[in-house]
Amino acid sequence: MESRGSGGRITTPAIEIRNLKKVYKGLRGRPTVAVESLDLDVPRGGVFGFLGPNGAGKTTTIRCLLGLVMPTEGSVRLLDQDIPGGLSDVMSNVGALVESPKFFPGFSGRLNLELLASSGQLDTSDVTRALDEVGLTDRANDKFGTYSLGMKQRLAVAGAILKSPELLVLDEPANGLDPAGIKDMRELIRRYGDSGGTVLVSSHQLSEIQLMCDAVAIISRGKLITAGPVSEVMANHEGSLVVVIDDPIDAIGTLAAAGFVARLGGDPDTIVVDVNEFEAANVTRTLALDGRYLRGLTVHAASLESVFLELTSEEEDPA
Amino acid sequence: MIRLLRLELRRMWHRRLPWVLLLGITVAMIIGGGVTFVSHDATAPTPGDVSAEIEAQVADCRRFTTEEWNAWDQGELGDTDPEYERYLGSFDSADAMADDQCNPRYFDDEFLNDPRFCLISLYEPGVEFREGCPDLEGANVYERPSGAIMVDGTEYRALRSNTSGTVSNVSLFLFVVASVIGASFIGAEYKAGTIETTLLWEPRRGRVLGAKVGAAAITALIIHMAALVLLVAAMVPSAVWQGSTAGVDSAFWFGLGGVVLRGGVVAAALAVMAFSVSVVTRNTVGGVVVMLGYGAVSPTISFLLLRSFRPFELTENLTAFAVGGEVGRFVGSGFDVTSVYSHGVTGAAVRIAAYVVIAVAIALVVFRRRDID
Repeated sequence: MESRGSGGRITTPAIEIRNLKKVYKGLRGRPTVAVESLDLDVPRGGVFGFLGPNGAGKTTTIRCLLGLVMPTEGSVRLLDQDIPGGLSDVMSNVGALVESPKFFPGFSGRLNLELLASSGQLDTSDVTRALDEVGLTDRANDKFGTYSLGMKQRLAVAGAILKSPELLVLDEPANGLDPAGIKDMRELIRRYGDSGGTVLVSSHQLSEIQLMCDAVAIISRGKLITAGPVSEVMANHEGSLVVVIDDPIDAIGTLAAAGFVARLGGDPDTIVVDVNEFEAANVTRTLALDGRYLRGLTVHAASLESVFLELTSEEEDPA
Repeated sequence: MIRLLRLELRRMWHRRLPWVLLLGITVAMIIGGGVTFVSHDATAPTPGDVSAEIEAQVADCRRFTTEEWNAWDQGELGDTDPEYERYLGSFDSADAMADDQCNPRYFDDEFLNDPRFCLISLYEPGVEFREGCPDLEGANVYERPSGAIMVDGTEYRALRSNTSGTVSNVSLFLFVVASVIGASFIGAEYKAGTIETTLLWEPRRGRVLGAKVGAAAITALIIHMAALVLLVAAMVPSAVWQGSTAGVDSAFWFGLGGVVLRGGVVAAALAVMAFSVSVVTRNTVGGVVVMLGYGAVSPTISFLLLRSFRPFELTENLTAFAVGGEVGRFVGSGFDVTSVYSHGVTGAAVRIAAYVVIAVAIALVVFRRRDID
């Protein structure tokens, strides 16, 4: 249901997924469960990261959102419309890039977008704007089939933003882009989020996600593992200290007696202590009081990547 | 829907396929028209020439035969084979034997090679040669079902390589082209993956399918009719300078226009059906193979196994509608069957429309339910 907060702004989620399940029936062999009982809300406004290892069900979920694939069970709502029934009412406000860019190779980039624009009753000036925004103006009149992977990706993003949509769904938008292109893409997405639009972005470039997303959801094997603001997701994972010290095994015992969790590191004479950087002084003092002195100390701050790997490896191997 | 239809037509306008087809057809028509023009044999005998020659041979035959019989009758033949004696004795008179020996059809191994192009017979197989063909003016001329021509009661075999049924015969080839056009309308989208992009902008799958069906039909109709108009245009020089356009009046053009238009409608129907098959198979090849395979196999199956089905068989109805003919139903058993009238052009149109509606309905159900991934 749509509800409004103070100031009359709509506060219902841009995307609401309840108990989503998608099973692909194989002609031979067992059916494949791509998504299993997924519940997820994507708040309006801002940039929301949608993460998961390969085969987690991200793209299938996105396809269900956009009506390309019919869910086996569950419900999906986009901008307060039930999907797929309300798709025609909402798609004029939704722009999407799913997996890889798909345009006619024999048509120019501009023509491909103009055909889309005419289907959406948009003006050709919108095409020019979109091409300019993704930096493809110079190659707009060249055939799509002659584009590099990065250019194809840019054109696909141009197609997604062509409608100036309220909701942007981007599946691997930086795929094939060079570092400058990745930066431009991040800034474009961030601009969208800051101007009031909602962006759902799925990517394996976790450093980029960490820089541009306000919130993230991590799924694995078709199920939600965690979701929330980036800072909250990372707050439960402290990072670590890598200590270089003689007699590491005795050092581990000293730290354990003081309540620290420590283990041997991969390199000789190193131990890893699961604490954040602010505990470095306490670790050092504890060892020193026991007559053990460090040869080196490195802070490994928690990153989205480390959190992601930790959570998804737990999901894959709970033991 | 009109907006989507315009979009699909605009998309087809920018594709290479229709232009490659039109260019190929244009070149083929020009070559065909040129070959027809230059293949004229000014020294070929006219029906009158050949008729006179055969009459002379018949006269020689009769003269010899009469002399032979009269000599036998007067005992002047000498030693004769007993069988031959009995043969000679079976006739009452020399004339009777001459009638048996010297039938004109025994001398018609001379082909009547008349390559002059008579525009009149362009589109109607089996039409009577009307008085419009100058050399035959005033003669009682008609064509037998075997293809032989009767001139004043005398039978001649005739080569008619570039006359009757040209438009109909070329149409059969163009129907294959129409199937390719229809199948590629959706097959190319599945191959490029652009069907997904389309649905992200217009999620109402029924409308998308309807627009594509309409565009496929319109494109096939236009290309088919343009090709036939080019064909007629390519043949006109032959008619004007090497043959005859006598009798080409408004009725002729109206009739020819009808054949061209009906052929275009058949092309549109085939394009839609090939499109529908390709929606199911998700590629161009599937649609083309199924349509060609059906056309190759179905008439034989309906004759051998499903004779009662013939009035409903698609290729029979398509052909009848295109050429303005009729569909027959089989009566008899085994190989001793004949075809009797079942229905004409209107009945064929109804049956074709039913096939098209069923094909599109199946495609719509499949397209609506299918996952795009």
